[in-house]
Amino acid sequence: MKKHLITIRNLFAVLFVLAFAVVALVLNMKVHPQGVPYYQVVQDRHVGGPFESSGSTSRYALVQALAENGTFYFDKTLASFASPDVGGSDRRYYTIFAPGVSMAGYPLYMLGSMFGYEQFTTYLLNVIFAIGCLALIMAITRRYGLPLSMQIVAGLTYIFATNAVVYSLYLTQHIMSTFCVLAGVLITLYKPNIIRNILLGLLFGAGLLIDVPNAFLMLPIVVYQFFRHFSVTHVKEYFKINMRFIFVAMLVGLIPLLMFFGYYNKDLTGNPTLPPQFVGRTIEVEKTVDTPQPVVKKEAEKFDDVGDNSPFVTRLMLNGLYILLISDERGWMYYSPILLIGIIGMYFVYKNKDLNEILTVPLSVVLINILLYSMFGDHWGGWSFGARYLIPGAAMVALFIPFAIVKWRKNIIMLLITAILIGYSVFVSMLGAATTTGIPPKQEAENLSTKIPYTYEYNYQLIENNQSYSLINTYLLKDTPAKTMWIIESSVITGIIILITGYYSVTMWKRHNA
Amino acid sequence: MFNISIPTNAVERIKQWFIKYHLHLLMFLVTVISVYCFVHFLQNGLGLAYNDARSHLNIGRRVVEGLKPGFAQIGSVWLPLPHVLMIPTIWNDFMWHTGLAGALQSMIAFIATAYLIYRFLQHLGVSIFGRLMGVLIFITNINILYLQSTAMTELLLIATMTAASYYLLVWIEKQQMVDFIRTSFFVMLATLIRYDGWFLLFVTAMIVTIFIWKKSGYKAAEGTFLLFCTLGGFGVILWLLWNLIIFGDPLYFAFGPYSAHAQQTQLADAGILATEHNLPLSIKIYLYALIYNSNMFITLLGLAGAVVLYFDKKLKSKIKLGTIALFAPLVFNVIALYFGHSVLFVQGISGNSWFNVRYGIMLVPSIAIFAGYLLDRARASVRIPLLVALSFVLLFSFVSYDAVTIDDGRVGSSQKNVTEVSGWLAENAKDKEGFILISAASHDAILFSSGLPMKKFIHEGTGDYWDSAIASPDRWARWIILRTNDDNDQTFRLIKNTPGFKRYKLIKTYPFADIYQLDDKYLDQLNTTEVFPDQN
Repeated sequence: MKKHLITIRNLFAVLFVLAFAVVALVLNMKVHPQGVPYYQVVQDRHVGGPFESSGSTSRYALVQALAENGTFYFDKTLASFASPDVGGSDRRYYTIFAPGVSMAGYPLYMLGSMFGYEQFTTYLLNVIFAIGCLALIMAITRRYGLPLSMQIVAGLTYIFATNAVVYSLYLTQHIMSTFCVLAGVLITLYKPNIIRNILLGLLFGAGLLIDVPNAFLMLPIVVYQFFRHFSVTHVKEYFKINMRFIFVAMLVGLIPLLMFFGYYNKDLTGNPTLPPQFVGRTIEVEKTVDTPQPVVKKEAEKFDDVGDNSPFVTRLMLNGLYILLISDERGWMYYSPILLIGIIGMYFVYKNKDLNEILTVPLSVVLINILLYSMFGDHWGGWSFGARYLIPGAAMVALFIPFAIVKWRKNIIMLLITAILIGYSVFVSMLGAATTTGIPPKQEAENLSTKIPYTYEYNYQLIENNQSYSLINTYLLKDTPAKTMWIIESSVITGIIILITGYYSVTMWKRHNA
Repeated sequence: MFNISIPTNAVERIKQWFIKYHLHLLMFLVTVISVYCFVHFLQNGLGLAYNDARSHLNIGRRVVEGLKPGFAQIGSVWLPLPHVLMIPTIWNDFMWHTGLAGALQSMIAFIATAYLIYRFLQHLGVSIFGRLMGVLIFITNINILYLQSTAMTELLLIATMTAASYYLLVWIEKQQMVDFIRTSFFVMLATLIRYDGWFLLFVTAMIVTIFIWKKSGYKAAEGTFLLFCTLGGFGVILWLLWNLIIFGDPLYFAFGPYSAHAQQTQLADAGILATEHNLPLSIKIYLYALIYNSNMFITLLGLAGAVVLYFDKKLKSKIKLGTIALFAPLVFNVIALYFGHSVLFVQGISGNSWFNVRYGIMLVPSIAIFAGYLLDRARASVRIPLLVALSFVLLFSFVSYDAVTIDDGRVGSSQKNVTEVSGWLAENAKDKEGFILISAASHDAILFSSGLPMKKFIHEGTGDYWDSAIASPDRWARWIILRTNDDNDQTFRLIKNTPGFKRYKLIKTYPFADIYQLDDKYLDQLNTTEVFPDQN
C-alpha cells in the first residue's frame, strides 16, 4: 500500500468533493411545495414525500416519541403514522425496527425544533452519514494506494451511481449500516491498537442498534480483526504463538451498547435478547389505518412449511440472487450496472499478488450481504428502489471500481464502457432521488387496481409529470421542470466523475509517454 | 503480549499424526453422522415417508416371504440390485419395518461416496484442506443426509457412479488394467440400480474410446471399447435376459404395464407431462431440482470450480477428459425429461407440488468435487471469504431445515399417507383368518404400513393365488383393498364384473383406497390356508 502525501491542493480537492456531495444531496431532500414547514406539522404520506415509506415513518415516530414524550412507546396517532411497521399491543405500541437510526436522529430533531424544522433536520441524518461514507471510501481507497482522483471516483460513484443517493434522503437504516461497515473495514487497514479495537466494538454495537442483521455484515470484520492479534513465528526449535490481549478492547466498546440494546428490548418485548424486529407487526394498528403500501407476499410462502424456524431460508437463494442481482425489479445489473466494473476490479485485485490481501474483508462482507438477503423472504424490500438491502455491499464493490479503471487506463474502449455505465447508473439513481422509493414488486404491481410499472419506469413517469418533491424542484427552482433539473443534475455528476477519470487516464498516459 | 512456545518436534509430530490418520478420523466422523441421521429420521417417522421406500422394502421382502417367495418377485418395475442387496437382512421383521434393510446400503454408500470424493480430489492434486472441504460439502447436504437414511436407491447409485468416475480418472492417469476393470465393474453395478447408470455406461465408454483413439489409434480404441462394454454392459444384458425369461419380453421393463413409460403415458394423457419435447423447460426444471438439492451457493461454487478446473493450464488434458463423467447425471436427466421417460415436479414451476425432486441430488458429489477443487486453488484472499460464506449458508440450511427431498416425501406427490387403511387392516385383519386381495403395484405402501406378514396378501406376484382370486374373489379373499371405479387399479379392473365381488360390503372409504369385506354368510366357503405349496 502506497502512502500519498496530503497537499494543500489535495485537501481543497477533497473539501470541494465533500461540499459538492452535500449540495447535491441536500438539493434533493424532500420539501413540500408549500414550503419547508409543511412536513413539520403534516404527517402526509403521499408518494415522493419524506413519509412515503413506513421504513422512515416508523423510525421518525420513535424520534418524535423520544423527543416529545420521552418514551420508546407510541401513542395511537404515532402508531398509525408508523404503521404497518408497529409492534406491541394494548395501546403500548412501538417501532419494530432497531432504535439506532432514531436515536442518532434525536439530536438533529432537537436542533431543528428550535427553528420549527425538526423533520428536515432529522432527515439530514442520512445525508451526513452519506458524506461520512464518501469520506470513508476515499480514506479506504487511499490506504489501498490509489491516487486522489481514483479515491474521488470511488466515493462519488458509490454515492451517486447507486441507490445510496436515494436512501440518503430518507430515515432508513441502510446508509448508517454502510457507514459502520466502511469504518470497520478502514480500521482493519491499520495495525490494531486499543483505541481502534474499542472503536470497532462500538461500531459493531452501533451496527446492531441500527439494524439487527448488521451483526452478520460486521462479523467478518470483527473476526478478521480478532485474528490479527495472533501470529505464529518459527524461532529455532520452537513455534511461537504470539497473542495480543488488546483484542479484549473490542468488548469494551461493544458491551455498553449491547447492554443498552438489552435494556431497550427488555422494555419493549420483555426479553433482553428478543428485539422487536423478531416479534413482528401488530395487526391491531394495521386495521385502524389506511395502509398505503400492501405488504409483499413472502417468497417463503410459496413453499410448504419452509422458513418456520428462521427468516432466512436457503431455498429462496435461487430467486433471491436473481431479484437482487439481475432482475429489472431490483437487480444491481439493472439499476447500477457500474458495480459490474467493481466486480471486475475485484478480479484484477485478486490476480495481483501484492494487493490481493485487501480483498478478504470487503469480499466477505459483500458475500454475506448478498447471501443473507437472497435467503430473506422479501428480497424486494417491500416497495423500494433498487436492491436497498445491498447498499452496504454496493459500497464494498465500489471500493474496487478504481482498480478496473487503473488497469484500463490506456484502454479507450473499456474506459468508454465504464463512462457509459457510470452515466446510466447516475441517471437511474438520481431519478429515484428526485421522485420516489416506492416501486412495487412485480407481483404486487400486476395486482394493483391502478397499474403502475414495477421498475424505475415508474420514477420516469413521475418525473415526466413533474411530480418531484426535491428541494430544488419544489422550492428553489420551482419553475424549471423536474425532468430538466434531473437531467442537469445527473449530467453534472456524471460529467464530474468522468472528467476526473479522464484526468487520471490522461495524466497516466502522459507520465507513461514521458 | 502473551506467548506460547511449542517445540517444532511436537508440532511436526501432531502434523504427521494428522496426515496419517485424518482420513480414518474423517471416515469415523462420517460413519457417526450416518448412524445418527438414520436414527434421527427413524424416530421422527420420516425415514419411511417415501412411498417408493416402502415399495423397495416390500420387493425385497417378497423374495424371502409371502405366498410365492422367490427371485422372480424382483419383478421389472425397478432395476434389481438394491433389492438383491436387501435379501440377506430383509427376512428380519425389524430390518424390514424400520427400513434398515434398505437404508443400510444407502448408509454404506454414503460413507463410500465421502471416501471417493476424498480420493477423487486427491487424484486431482488437491491438498488435504480441499479434499476435506469437498467431503464436508457432501456430508453436510441435508438432502443427502435424509436419503442416506432411507431405503431409496439414490445413494447407492451415487456411490457406484462416483466410484466408476473415480476409477476412470485413475485409469486415464495410470492406465492399469485393474482400474479399467474397476471402472467397468462399477458402471455395471450402476446399470443395475437405475437407468442413469445406462447413460453412464455410454458416457464412460465414449471417454474410454476417445482417450485410446487419441493415444493409440482406431483399432486399439475399437478393442478397448468392446472390452469395456463386455463387463460394463453385462448388467444391461442380464436385465434384458431377465425380462425375457420372466416376462417373455426383453423390453418388458421399458414398455410393460408397470413401466415408467406406462406411468408417463398416463401423465401425458392427463396433460401434466409438461417437459416432454420441451427442452428449455426440461433444462429449467432439472436445474431447479439440482439447485434445490445442492444449495444455490454451493452449486455456484461447484460451477466456478469446474471453470477453474477446465481452465487450469497445469492440469493435464487427459485428466480433464476423465472428469467429464461427473456431468453424466445432468445430461441424462434433461434428456429423460425431454423424451418423457421421466417426470419431475418442482413446486412453483409445476403447479403446487413436488414429485421426484430427489433426481436433482445426483450432481451433489460432482459439485462437492468441483467446489473442493476451487477452495484448494483459490488464493487466501478469496478462499477465506468463500469459507465464511459457505459456513454461513450451511448454518442457515440446517437452521431452516431446508430439504426438498423431505418435503417431497412429506407433502409432495412422492408421499402416500396410508395410515388409515393400513391402520384398519392392522386392527381388524391381524388376528383373523383369511387373505387380503390387493394390487401391490397400486398399494404397496399399504402392505408395508399394515405391519402384516406378506403371506397375508394376495397380489399380482402370488401366481395361482392371484389368478384364482381375481376369478372368484369370494373364495380366496376375506378383504379386498382397491380404488373403486378406477381401472388403473388392477384389482378393481379384473374383479369388478365377477359375481363374487357382489358378496362384499364396502366397509371403509379412504383417500387412497376402499376396504371391502366378505359377507359373513360366505365365510364357510372361503379358503384361508396356503394351498399351492408347489409355487414356493
